[in-house]
Amino acid sequence: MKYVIIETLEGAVKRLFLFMAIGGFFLILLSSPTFARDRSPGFNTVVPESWTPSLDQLKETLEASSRTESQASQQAMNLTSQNLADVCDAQLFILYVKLMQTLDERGRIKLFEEQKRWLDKRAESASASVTSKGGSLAPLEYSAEFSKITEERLVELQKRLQSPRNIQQLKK
Amino acid sequence: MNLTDQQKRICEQVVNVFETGSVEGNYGAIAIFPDGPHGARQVTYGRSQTTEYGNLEELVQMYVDKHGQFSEELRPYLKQIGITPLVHDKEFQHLLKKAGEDGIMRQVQDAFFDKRYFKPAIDWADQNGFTLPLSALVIYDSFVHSGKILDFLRKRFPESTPKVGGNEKIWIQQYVDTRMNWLAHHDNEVLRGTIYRTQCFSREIVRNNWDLSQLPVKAHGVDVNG
Repeated sequence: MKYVIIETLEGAVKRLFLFMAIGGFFLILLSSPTFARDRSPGFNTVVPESWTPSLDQLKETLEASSRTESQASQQAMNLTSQNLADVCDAQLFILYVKLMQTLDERGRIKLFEEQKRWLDKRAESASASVTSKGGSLAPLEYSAEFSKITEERLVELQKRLQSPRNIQQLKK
Repeated sequence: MNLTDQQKRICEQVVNVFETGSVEGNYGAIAIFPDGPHGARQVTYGRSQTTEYGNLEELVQMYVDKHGQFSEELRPYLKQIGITPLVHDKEFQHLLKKAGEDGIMRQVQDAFFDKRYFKPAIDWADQNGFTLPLSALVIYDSFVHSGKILDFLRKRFPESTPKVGGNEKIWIQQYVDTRMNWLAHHDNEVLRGTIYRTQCFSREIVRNNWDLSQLPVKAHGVDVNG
């Protein structure tokens, strides 16, 4: 049963990466000069308004299984925790794209640079949190810290997206 | 430290249960984690999980040299492991998974993980004057779970190692308690779920099973008999 759940989650995570790849393509498209030149005046969105993928339920399921997994083996715990970290990262990616499309060109460049620095810092902090280097606990320490840092960034970007200025931009 | 074959098997089987959920271990287990150099994703493989940028090449080389069922198909990958990322190479991962069912791969992994974890653990135990089989189990588990005996945990309890005049049973008891306390109150809630390991050792200490002769040892709900 556990195997089936893990397999299902693996499938879901694979789909997420496909989604992220498509999102990445749109981002590149958005920032390309050709696209900027050809787009219609006033066009400022990358993702169609009706396309609202949700990872909330998947994340809740993973969080629930990580809480009830006190009976799981180390390998299973490591895998669930990593899946959860990947879902958090995909959520952050979606939010980043949403926020990006509310910004003008200067704002987008600024956010891109900021996010790049933040990604480096996240990898650094997650690595620093590993005390069991070379042990089977290490992946769990890494992914747990990775999720924690990503959650904090999610809150931060969500706040920015919901700021009055951005809501106004979205309405336009 | 002189362990009988059965005492050594008990140590390995208990840790197998903790790691994989089964006494035999999962020799074909594959997972991808972003814990490679600079946060790169990497393939993690085998009963006690060795990594693409760690010692996977050595393990695969040992298997190829032993002419296992999938040796020839895995041979070309030897030049790539640790150099060319293989996280997206489904064929490589499929081969490793299938090789996990091959008796030769199982023997190779037993020898490999013995060298990587069991021997260093027993060497550490010998250097520090430990002689009891339950001590071997506790120390071996720390080497698999945390890579070694963590220095910051040793500083949290007063007993000295037997080598410098301490009492072996008291040291092990205090170490297990300290490790349990660290995991049970860890900032990251998810790590708290791993205290079943130290709980198992505490039970064996309470029933005075220092020579691991009282069987079965209950490991994470599974009976281990060696």
